[in-house]
Amino acid sequence: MIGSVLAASIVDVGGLLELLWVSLAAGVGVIAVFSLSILSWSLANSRNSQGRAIAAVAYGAVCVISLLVCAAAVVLGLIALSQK
Amino acid sequence: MSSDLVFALVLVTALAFDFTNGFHDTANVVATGISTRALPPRTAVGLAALLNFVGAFISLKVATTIGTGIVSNQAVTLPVVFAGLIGAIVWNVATWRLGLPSSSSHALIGGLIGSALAASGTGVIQLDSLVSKIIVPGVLSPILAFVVASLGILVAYRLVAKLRPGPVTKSFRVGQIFSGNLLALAHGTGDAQKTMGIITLALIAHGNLPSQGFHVPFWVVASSATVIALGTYSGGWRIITTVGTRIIRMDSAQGFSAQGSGSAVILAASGLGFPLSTTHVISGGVMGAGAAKRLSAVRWGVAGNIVIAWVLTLPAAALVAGCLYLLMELLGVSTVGPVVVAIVTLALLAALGMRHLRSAPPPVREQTT
Repeated sequence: MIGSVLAASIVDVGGLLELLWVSLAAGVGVIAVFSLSILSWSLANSRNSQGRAIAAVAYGAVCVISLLVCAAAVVLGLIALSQK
Repeated sequence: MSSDLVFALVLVTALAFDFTNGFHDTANVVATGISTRALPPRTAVGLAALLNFVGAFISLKVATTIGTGIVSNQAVTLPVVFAGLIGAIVWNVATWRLGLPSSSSHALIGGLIGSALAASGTGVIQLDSLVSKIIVPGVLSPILAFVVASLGILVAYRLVAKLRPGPVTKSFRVGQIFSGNLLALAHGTGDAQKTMGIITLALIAHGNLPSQGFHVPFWVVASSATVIALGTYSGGWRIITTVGTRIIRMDSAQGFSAQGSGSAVILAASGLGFPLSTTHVISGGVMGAGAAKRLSAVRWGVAGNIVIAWVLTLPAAALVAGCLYLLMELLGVSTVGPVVVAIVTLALLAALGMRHLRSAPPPVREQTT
């Protein structure tokens, strides 16, 4: 009991939790969104070759938005870092 | 006069450490990009050097942790900083020569602790800060990078599972160009700051800066950024041979995942002022991306060596630095000791360098595909 209280007082629990969630959200999030952009790009191409223009445009839009989200995450992260 | 000479020695040694840091860690930054052929080696190393330079200007939180969170200000003298730096360089070069993966950051922190312990005893070590800012995040960060890379690659594989492999590989290679650049930026942000922290400590010890508050002058930021970038550029060519033959075989999605997770962990840690080891974080990311696909894809023997090196680096660098400080004290800590240690270290490094040049393998041909 005393040991765990002492450990909690020495260890920066708040900082570690922030490191944990920021790394998970940014790392997994960007990898997932970039993969989504690849998927939507591929689907846009296949729908386009099938002559389904509306679906192709919709998937193309998802691809562009995904890439923009990735870029925005990186830029926002760097801005937040530089202002700390 | 003697203090000026020791200050000059500290400054040159700190920048030399910065150079070896860039030199030593280039492989970490460019490895995955080169092994999956996302970028040709020459371009990858050049871009890494440029982004190391830019990254060094982004944040100063890690420099503040190095400057204020390891040993108390009254224990910091120029000989203490000098012995700490030499201890770190000696350990870095020794492990590089033996082929052991080790952390430049932990060597630097260990060196500073060892020389301060030898000079002033245990009372000057800031144990709370050392545990909360360095040891605990240092242990957790490779595990975190492992988890982030594993989850990331599982999500990525699930999303692209039904697509044709060719276009997917090409797309992830394009993604790797960006994730690799982000990793180089993160490396510059995290690692150049360690040298900035040390030089600022030396400036305080020399009386050029007030001991109250911790301000890193711009010339310190600019010189650290420039030297780590030069180290990165020159180091890459030698280490690429090792990288090309020893890294696990990974596809471009795994490379993207390893680089992305490493960048996320290092940048988040830099923002919080945790001076992590880039080597350990990226190793964790590479292992996570490999293990999520197939556990046997990871060379667990190499992983074990990384863990052993991690455990050894901090105490070993502390021991070397502590012994060097005691040697300097015997010879005269104000001038003669540091000068003798500098000359002997330089001679040893030169001898090692000459031997390495003689036994170096022929340069690796650049891959063009």
